[in-house]
Amino acid sequence: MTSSFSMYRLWSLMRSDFLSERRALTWAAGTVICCVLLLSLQQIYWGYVGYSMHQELYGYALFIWGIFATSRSFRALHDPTRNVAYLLLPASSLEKLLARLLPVTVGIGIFLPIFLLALSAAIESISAIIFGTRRPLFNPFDLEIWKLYGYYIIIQAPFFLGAIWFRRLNFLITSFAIILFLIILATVILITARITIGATEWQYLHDLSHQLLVTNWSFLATVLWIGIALLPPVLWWIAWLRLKEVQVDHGVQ
Amino acid sequence: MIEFENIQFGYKRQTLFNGMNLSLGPGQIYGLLGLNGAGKSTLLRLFGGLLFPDNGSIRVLGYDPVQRNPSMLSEIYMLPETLHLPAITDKNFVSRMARFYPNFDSNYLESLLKEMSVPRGQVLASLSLGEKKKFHLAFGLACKPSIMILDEPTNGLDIPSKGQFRKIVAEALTEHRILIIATHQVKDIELLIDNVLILHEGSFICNQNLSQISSALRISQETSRPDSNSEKLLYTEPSLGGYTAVWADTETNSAHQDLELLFKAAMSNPDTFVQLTTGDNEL
Repeated sequence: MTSSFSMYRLWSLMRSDFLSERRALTWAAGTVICCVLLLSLQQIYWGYVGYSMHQELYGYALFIWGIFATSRSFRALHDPTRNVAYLLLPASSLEKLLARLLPVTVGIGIFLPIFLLALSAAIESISAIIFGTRRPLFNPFDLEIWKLYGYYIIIQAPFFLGAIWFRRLNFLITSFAIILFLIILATVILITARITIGATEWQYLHDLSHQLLVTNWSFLATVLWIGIALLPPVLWWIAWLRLKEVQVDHGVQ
Repeated sequence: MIEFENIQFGYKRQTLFNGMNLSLGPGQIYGLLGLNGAGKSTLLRLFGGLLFPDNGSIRVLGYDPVQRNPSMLSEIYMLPETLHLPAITDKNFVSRMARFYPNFDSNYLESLLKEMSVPRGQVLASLSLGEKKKFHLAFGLACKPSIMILDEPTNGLDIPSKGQFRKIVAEALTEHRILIIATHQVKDIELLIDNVLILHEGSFICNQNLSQISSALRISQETSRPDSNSEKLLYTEPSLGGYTAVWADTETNSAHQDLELLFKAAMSNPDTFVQLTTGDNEL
């Protein structure tokens, strides 16, 4: 145990957060259960019995629930009635960061597959009893599930940074910032392509990028994927720096 | 215990503290006074590392508060002016929060809550403002911090509770602890505090023991308004049957401590007051 990191304090923070968010978690789980039930009834009615709805649902649940929960991670920090207590809580910035990061990364990655497996087992059992038909259960070992989880971690990271950076409307402002960044990036690429290789059409650029990044695995593609893989830890690190330097201005401008 | 050295701090282009120095030692209750906007809350936030100075050095219990070291934070408890207590019961709150404070004493908390008649078993968010303050104060004291910071602690307390507050705070003082009370309700704390800190225009015009300041002042009741040009007159105000006047007088000690009058006198004549409290009595 060091002054900047203690497992006991981290566990205490996560326990406290879990107890605070218990009601929200119940509501979110309840919403997912209702959605799955309604969709199941609809699909059984239409006779889609061979279709694995649960597998597809994982992506929606992961991205919608995960990103929304991530954007709400640091509400206490931006609430003038709570930020003093939050910052004065005897725990280091690293512990406070991890207490909010782990549930929306590792936590959701473990919880959601188990939850969906249990839910699909329950629903399909009921379906087998009532309608005499059942669909495949959710398979947490499907490679596609873990690919989606990897994409989620990459997309989640800017929202985590946005949750700590922006004071309000974290989800909307972060989404806007990402879109703006992508537009600027696309513009820069387009202008660079125009100057360097004389490309004038999007289709040509698209074909070229596809060839470089997908068809012929190139050095450029390797660099790009390493960059993307490094994006989450870099953004989490920036979020930690931000948390360390955040101050309470109690409304005085 | 708390050391400020040449602190500069401001909001955007407005400088609030310019080269502030301060040293607070243990075993004292400090009353922090100042007009609205003088920087009292800012100062309290600098103590806890909630704001960072633009320049200069702050040491709190040997730590740099900017680092927000958990060991330092576990020795500081702040009762903020604006309170937020979650929608959970007192028992749940204690079970969640006490584990962060190594010195937490649950028996002491129980006795304080009983003494202050704080309702038990209720959702904290549903308590009245006064009850929330009492709960927060009891919890803070039960954490046994070395530095207890109270920002407007008596706001929202009823008259009996104010008496209880004074008694509990006085009992909570130990030789290893500092209590800092920032308030406008000077009547509530004048019997409690040892030292007076008066913040005015970015610096302290008073950082002295209350009895020492009182010994340098004389308060008199006059039937007619004293001449404003009278030598040593610091402040005068209408009162029942005439006027109350505050005089700079080190020879005739009135033995009467009136913190509100003292503060008003300081605000009306800051320069003279500085001379008085720094021992330069050549008026």
